[in-house]
Amino acid sequence: MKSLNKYLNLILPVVSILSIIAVWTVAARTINNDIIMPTVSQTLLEIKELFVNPRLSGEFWLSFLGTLWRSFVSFVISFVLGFSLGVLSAKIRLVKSCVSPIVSIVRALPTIAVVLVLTLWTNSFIAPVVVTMLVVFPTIFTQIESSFISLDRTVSEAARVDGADERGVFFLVELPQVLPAVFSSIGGGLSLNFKLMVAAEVIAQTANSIGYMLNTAKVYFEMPKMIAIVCIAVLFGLIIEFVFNKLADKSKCE
Amino acid sequence: MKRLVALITCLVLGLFSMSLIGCAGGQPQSDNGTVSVKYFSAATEMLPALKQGQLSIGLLPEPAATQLTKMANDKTWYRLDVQALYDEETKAYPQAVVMVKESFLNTYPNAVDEMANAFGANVEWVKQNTADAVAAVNAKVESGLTPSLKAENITEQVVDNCKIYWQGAEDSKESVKGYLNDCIAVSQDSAVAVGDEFFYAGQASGEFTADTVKVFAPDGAPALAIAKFINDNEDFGTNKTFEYTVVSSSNIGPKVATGAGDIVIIPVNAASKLYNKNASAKYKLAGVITHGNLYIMSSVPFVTLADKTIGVIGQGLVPDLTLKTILNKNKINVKIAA
Repeated sequence: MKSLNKYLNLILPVVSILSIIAVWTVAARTINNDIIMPTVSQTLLEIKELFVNPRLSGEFWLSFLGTLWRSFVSFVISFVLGFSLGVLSAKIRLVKSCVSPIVSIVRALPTIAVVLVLTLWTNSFIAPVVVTMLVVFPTIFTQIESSFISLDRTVSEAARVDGADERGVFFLVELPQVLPAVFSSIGGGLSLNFKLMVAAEVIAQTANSIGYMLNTAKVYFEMPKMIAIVCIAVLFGLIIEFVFNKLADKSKCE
Repeated sequence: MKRLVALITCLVLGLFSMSLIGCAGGQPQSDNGTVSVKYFSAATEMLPALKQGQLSIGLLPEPAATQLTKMANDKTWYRLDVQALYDEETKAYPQAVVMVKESFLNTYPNAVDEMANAFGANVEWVKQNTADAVAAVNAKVESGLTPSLKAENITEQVVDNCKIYWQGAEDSKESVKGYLNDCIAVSQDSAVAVGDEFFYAGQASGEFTADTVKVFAPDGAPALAIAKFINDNEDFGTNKTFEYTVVSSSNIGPKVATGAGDIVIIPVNAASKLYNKNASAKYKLAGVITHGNLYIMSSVPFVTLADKTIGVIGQGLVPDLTLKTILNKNKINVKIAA
């Protein structure tokens, strides 16, 4: 029974992905119009072209790395703010009362409207970074805060009784316990960050970005290129999540 | 644990440095300087920036160009005719074209001649009856779209500036092919080189069986060009019901791509890209109706665009492509402003 489950756990994800591809192929063949729905083979060819063709790949790598750089900057700022404020909120009531309402307001801001406004106030490089921060920061804040609140207080108390100072308690007792949650929130946060960054870049028309490439492909009716870029972005998000989930598993203290 | 931390740090640093390199990018060698282009998605976004002085040079279509001079009348506006910059002799390039379904062309072979004959009266009618023309166009705007034409912005000079006149498929072959090649030279994906079969020359196939003929036009000067047809519900001698709709310029491409439109007015480069993509709905170019309405408006006098920032609406569309063609001809490089 156990080996059947293990077998199913490996096979079922592959089956579900294959069925998505099957549905896609049938739909593309029925519609028979590659402006509306390109076929799977066209998309795969386009993905290959993006990496192999020197004209396309130069532009692709420039855009991809540009978007990565912006995602990196916005994620680091969101994470540092989210983590520090999350920890402080979990430990100090006063901080929680100050920060919670602000975080709720920031979380409720409609993303697209903010991009439009920011593009007027700042430039098209900063606007997507700020917008992504406004979405990712509350997410990380909430995750970190709740993981610290749900810590077992008796373990920390025991450490204090044994003579550890606050710093010791934090770094040696509490942090290792929340590390799995931290890693998976980084993985999810990075993935979300990248996705939002692309969306914001499309609206802000940022130079050297995946969003700009997507918009250009749409304007020129290059559907296979659009789907190819989307597939690459999805794959990238999946890889990041996978890496950080593995890290989360590894850091679980059993 | 330590190894994990080290691995993550290496990964992060690696990505970080790669992205820095990516961002630095190579600056091409320029002959006559570099101009920075700032993109806006619509004229309504650029006008405030020009008015308040954040931007001093902008590429605008009529009637937005004249609207700017009225809105920001505290400044003197210098106007450069982009059409003249593109081609000094003709001062024109094919901008909006009429794509007609082959089945319609085959079933009603006289319709295009009727259209050509009737078109001549359009411009005069719009000049004499501006308010009616704008009202007719705005009445047919698809739901959810804010009409861009306002009667008080459209003077006779503005209508002249829109360069509306009919050029048949045969006569336009050279200029269309030339313009498309210029677009491809600027941006390889922006257009497709077309052969003679792209142009309607009396040969078509298919049977048109639908009850109504659906006509689509993008908002702005192209819609104004056919305002008289919309007002009169013109049927070009076919005695069929014609349904005119004005859509936003981003929605016009799908009308050809999906075959939803029977007669579609569309920018020429988009037409070339969509040509023959849909096996069940083939189109041919019947004629060119607008020949350039772009003007570079500047609040400061300038000798050259190099080292300046210019606002452009429609990234990847005709304004952007035409500007880049002109800059290429004058060996000025283009950089996208942040």
